[in-house]
Amino acid sequence: MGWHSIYIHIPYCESKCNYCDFLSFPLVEAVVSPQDYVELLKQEMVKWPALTSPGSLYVGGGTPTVLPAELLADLIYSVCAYFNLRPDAEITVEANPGTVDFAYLQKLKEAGCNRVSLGAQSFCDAELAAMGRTHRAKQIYEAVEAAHLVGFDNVSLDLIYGLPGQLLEGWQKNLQQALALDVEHLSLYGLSLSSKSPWGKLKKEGRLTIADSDLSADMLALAREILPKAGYLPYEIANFAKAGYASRHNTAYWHRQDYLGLGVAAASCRGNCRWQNKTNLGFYAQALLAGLRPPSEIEALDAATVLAEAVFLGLRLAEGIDPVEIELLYGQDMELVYAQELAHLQLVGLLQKENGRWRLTERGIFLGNVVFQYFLP
Amino acid sequence: MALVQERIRNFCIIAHIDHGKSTLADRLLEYTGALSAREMETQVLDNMDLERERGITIKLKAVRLQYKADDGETYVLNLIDTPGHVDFNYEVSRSLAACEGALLVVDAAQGIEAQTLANVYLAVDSNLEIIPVINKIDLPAADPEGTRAQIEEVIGLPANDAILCSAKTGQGTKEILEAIVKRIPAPKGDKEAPLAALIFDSHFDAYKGAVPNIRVMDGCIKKGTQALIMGTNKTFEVIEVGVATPGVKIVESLEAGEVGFFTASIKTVSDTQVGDTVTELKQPVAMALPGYRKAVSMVYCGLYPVEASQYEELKEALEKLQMNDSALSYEAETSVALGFGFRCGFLGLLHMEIVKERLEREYDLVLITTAPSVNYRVTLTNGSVIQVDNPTKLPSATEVAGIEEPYVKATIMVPSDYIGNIMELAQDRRGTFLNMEYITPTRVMLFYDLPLSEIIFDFFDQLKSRTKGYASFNYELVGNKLADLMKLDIMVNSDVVDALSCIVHKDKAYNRGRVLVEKLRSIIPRQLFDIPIQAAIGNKIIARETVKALRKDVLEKCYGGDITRKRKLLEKQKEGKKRMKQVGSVEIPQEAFMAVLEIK
Repeated sequence: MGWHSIYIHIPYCESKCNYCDFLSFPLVEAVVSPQDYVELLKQEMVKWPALTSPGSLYVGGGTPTVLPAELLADLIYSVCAYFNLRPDAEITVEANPGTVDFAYLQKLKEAGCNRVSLGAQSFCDAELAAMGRTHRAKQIYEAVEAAHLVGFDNVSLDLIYGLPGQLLEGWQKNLQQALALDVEHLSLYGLSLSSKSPWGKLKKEGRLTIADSDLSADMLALAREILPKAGYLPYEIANFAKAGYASRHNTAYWHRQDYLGLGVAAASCRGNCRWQNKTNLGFYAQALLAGLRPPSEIEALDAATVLAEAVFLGLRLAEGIDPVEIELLYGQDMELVYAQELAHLQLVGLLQKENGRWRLTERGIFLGNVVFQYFLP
Repeated sequence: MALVQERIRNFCIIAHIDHGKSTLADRLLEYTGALSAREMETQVLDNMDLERERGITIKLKAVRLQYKADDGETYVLNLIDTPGHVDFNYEVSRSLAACEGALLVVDAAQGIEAQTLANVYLAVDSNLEIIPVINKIDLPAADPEGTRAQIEEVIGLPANDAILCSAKTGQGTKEILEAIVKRIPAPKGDKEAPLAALIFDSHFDAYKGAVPNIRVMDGCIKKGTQALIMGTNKTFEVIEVGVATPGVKIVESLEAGEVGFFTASIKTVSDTQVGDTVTELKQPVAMALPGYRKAVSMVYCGLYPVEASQYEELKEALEKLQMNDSALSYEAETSVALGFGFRCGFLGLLHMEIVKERLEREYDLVLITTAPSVNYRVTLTNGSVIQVDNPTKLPSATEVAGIEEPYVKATIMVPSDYIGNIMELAQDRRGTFLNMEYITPTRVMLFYDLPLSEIIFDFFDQLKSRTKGYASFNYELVGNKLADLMKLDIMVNSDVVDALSCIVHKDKAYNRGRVLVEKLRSIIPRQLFDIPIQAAIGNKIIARETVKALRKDVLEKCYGGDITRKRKLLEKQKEGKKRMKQVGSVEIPQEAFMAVLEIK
């Protein structure tokens, strides 16, 4: 068996956004230079078996495109070569508008990248400024145009809804502007703040209000109404794509495929094991320099947890889950194990079974967490 | 060798919380060599952790001190400690009855407080010799002369020979000891008379059983005495008698005038209730000592385990606690909403909080407390009379002819600037103004009749916050009064939640109902469907709020494939759900059951 997908974490960004609690540092503060970091990634990579060819590579962050184009291209090239990625593999790079131009994107394309995911977040300059983003709406247009000129035919935009002060009308405008760009894929995230982010702290102190769950529900409902009409299908709770453009990489997570994460804090999954690399850049570097692999600890999940994961991850997808497939993969009959839970969730209208597959109902999609909890051991 | 009564002095210390009673006791122990300064754990007399944390004395004890006075004689001084909270008034009166004198400790900076006053009156009633002591004279804000004048004006005691001291620095300790010897009379019991000993405290020892602290009035008690406890009419053979110095010291006998304890394999402290009389079976006294009454619960609440599986543990814990606390009563009860639990009776709110904290801390239980209630006397239309300490048990209005509620006479002492605030509060709590006395040109004493139910919630907190902390407060039960009371029911999702019912006055029912449902709406989390929360009196709905159905709760972020993080978040959510109580199809958080307490 080999890796179905490879993830690479680039922990740098231009500056920290107010809502972000991901592991990333402003470039100037980093204890390891990007050049050294890419070398470390290559060292880490060869510690893992290459085996069969992965079908996707995702370079995420942070903002991978704060790296010089040559450095990022070199990294992609090396990873593709070592793991022998399939010729038709999906290779995505996350980019921030304002960090990429025609020349930059061309270098990525030459290295094999065939999908660009742009962190657009909003088309409203005031919202972008409030979030602490370095780009403005104009840069989103420029980045999409450049990507199209270079020949990318698979571009995705990330949008955030429920921003402080944002109303349903404002969100509708953002959606319409995204649709006007005619990209292939859209990811929509309702703003949720952990107490670690600057906004999270303000919210906790009662100095910041974001959309409540009702407005947030209205916003998601609006998107689920507008986007399909424009040809974007909601194939996952937060993701919409034109036919044939669902992200293969993310779908691998929901299918609970094996994937390898490289880089500081990167998460991996193989069979019943999950692990995460050291989350401190210095410790991550130290481990590799000492010749070790950098995971902090490997978690071996018991059969009940594996089954729970397979169910709650699979249910995120519009296609839902086929109990027969689940049984073939995990040796357990989910309809027996979860007989009570499934009956209850069906009764309260959050889950349905159609053509042999279990899926969230429209309401269940909005209340995913309520449903997912039922399957945890 | 038996003591000569002429060289025994039995005394206690009367003081307001924080006026330095425990510190002064420490100084007396230290000065008489009962404990060296190094051995001295500060405030020796408060021996429960909880007491030390809260800075109040819950159970009382007695310590025997040896003091060589200026007249060359060595005296035995028995210091009997008293609790300083209004919940424990009866206990205070019993320990006063064991003494011939009292030190009245007044903070030189704070002056006299209502609590002190109440206890001084008790002491005067018991004919005690009172020695005024003005403490904390080392403080910059100390006003010894003003305090002296206050003692004379307010209490009517001559204070020209009040002793100035600082329990903190030790100044004045010797003068206090001399005054105890010279001014407090020696006990005047008859050694040859039949045994009569007053139980003024009792505690439970895991090896020796209930251990009563006694003051021998007449006669003598020793190993082998067949001790008859008159209130309960039970006899025990005395195994040992002793005194605390403060270390336990076994003695041959305790004779008239002496203070000490005895053990007799007594299984529970309820057999040795405070105020009861110990006599000898073969030659009993004709009459028990005066003043005894059984501990009466004033406040009741339901205690339920959050996890039904902890019911047995809770039962055992209550049994153990009761062995050491005869004022605690409990009986099993069942709530539709909360399952199996206990109806518990307490002396007051503080007592209730202490018991709950001890159960959770010492027995590791997680409990739901229902709102406290008083004991109502209900006359039914068929003429019979029942006692109702649980609102759920109040019969329907058609069967009730009248409800009486317990009333207290409250004494509130406050700087005159705050009279208006106090009157407003008392009126709001259905108080009847009785009287007002100026005790100094700037301090007044207000007397009110108040329903007990109105003061058990947050009355004291309100009193303090409306007077910047200057008010002090004391109360005594004066009996029952007929009132226009009714049961307020709370319905969640159309079902009456019995544990949320309360008995309220007609004039307050509407407001209480409205505020309570608003509060509950903010506490009960949104669930899959709309949840109506209604307040009802009989069949009439008087307030309604709705917890709207939850519309969105879903994790959208992918966290770069960090599924563990997603799973942990879901696990945390699930844990939170587990801590709620499922009532019908609605999940209600624990704090909802106490919500009624937080309503102003």
